Amino acid sequence: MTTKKIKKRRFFSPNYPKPYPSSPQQVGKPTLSLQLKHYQRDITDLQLLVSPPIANTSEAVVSIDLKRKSRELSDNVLSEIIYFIRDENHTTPYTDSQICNHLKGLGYKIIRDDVALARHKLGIASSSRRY
Amino acid sequence: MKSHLNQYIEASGVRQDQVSQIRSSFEDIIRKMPNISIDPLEATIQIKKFLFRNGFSYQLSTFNIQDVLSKQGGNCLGLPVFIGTIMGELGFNPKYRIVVNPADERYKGECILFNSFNEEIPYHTPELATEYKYPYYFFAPLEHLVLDVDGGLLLETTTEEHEPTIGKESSEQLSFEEALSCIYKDRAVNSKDNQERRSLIQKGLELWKNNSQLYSLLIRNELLTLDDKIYEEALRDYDRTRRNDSLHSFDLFCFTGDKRFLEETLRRYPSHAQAIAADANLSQDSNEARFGFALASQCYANSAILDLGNFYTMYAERLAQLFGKERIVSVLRSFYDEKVGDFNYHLTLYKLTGDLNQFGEAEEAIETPYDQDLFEEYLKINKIK
Repeated sequence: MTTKKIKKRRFFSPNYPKPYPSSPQQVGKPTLSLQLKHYQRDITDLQLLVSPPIANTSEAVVSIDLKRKSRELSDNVLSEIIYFIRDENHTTPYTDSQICNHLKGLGYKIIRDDVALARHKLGIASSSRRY
Repeated sequence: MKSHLNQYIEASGVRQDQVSQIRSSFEDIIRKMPNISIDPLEATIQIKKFLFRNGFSYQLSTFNIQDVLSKQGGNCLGLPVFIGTIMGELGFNPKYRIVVNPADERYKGECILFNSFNEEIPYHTPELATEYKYPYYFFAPLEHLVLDVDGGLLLETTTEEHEPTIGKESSEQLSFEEALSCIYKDRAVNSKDNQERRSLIQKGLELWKNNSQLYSLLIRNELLTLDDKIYEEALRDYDRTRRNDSLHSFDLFCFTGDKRFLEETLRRYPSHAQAIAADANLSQDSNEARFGFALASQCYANSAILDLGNFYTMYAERLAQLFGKERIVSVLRSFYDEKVGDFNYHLTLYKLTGDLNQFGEAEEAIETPYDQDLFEEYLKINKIK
C-alpha cells in the first residue's frame, strides 16, 4: 500500500461521487479491465448493495422500530461512562473505542456506536473536542 | 467427507461449546419426523410440511443453524439450507437455484406503489420523504434461494405454497456446498471487522469460487482497507463471474462509474431506489433531479432493507442545493440517534454546517484506512486544529 495508490483512489469525492467521464476507450461493451481504476465507492451503502438474501414472502412483517435500530441505553451504562471519563487525563482523553472496551471488560454488551450515542445523550463532546 | 450437518455447523460459525447442543437439537427433529418418501420431491414437501406444522416459520435475517434452531425459522437462505441439511442427513443430494428478483406478490405490490409515486408526485413541486412509511417492499434486487428438486423442479421453502414465483431476472443452479457459501457471505455482510469479513469471504469462495456477490463484497471491503492487489484481483474475478441482472449491472455502475450500467439497471428494474437516486444525482436538469430524488426517497421510505438515513447522508450536498440547506440539515439531524457513530454521517453534517463538533465525532468514528486517509485530507485542506 502506497500513498500514491491511496491518492489515486481519491479520484472521486467520498460520498457517492460523480461518475468517471466516458472516454473513447469505453466505446462498445464496457469491460472492467479497461476501467479498473475508474470506479466509484459508496461506503455508506456497503451493507446494502450486497444485501443478504431475504425471503420474498408476503408473510414477512418488518417492524419500523427494528428498521430504525432503536438503541436503549441503561442508566448503568450511562453512569459507567460518566465515572470513566471523569478520571481521564485531559491531555489524552479516552476515545469511544477505549470506553467501549472498558465497558465490555465490565461485562456490558455494547458497541462503539452505543458509546457515541450515550455521549450525545449526556452532552459529552468527542475526545478531540472535550477540553 | 463431512456430513451435511457438520458442514452447516461449520459455515454458521457455531462456537465449539455449542456444537453438541446444536447436534442434539437437530437430531431430535430428525427423530420426530414421520417416515419420509424415497421420492426427492415428495420427501422435500414432507420435511417442509413437518417443520411448518411444528412451529417453523419465516424469520427475517435468520440463516445460521444456531439461530434457525433457536428461533424455529429462517429467511430464504436459512430455511432452504436447513431443509437441505435434513435431506442430506436422510441420504438425498439437495440442490438449489439462486434467483435474482423473483416477480412475486411483494414485487407486484412494489410496482403498483412505484407507479402511484410516479403519478402522484408533482413534477414541479416534488416533496422528499423524510421518515419511514411502510417499510415492507424492497425497491432493490435481492438474491433468493429455492430448492431445485429432481432436475429443475423448484420448491419454495419460505411460504406454505410450494411453487416458487415464475419470472425472475436471472438464476443459477447451486450444490449444497455452494449454497453454504451464501451463509459465509451473509455473515461477512454482517461483520463489523474488515479482517474477519475478508476471512469469511475467503471461506465462502472456497465453497463456491464463482460466487460473484462475494467478489462484490470483497471489492468494497478492499476499497476501505486500501489493499490494491486483492481489490484488483477481485474486480477481475467479479467480471468473470457476474450474471446478467440488475443486481450485477448496478454493481458494475458502482465499480466503473459508467452510466450505461446505470441505464441498464433501470431498464431491468425501474423501481431500483439506489439507481433512481444515482440517476437523479447525475442529472444536469434541476427539475429532473428534484423529481428523481423525491421518487427515490419515497422508495427508500417504503423499503424493508434500504436505509433512508444513508440516502440523506450520501446525497446531502446535492439535496441541499436542490431543496435548501436548512431543510436537509434538519432532516439529517432527525436521523441522529440511528446514525450516530457513522463516519460519513458526521463528516457530511460537518460539511453542511461547519460544526467542528461533528468533525470531532467523525474522527471518533474512523474505522478503516480509507476513513483515516480521508479525515486527514480534510484536516489538511480546512486547516483544522
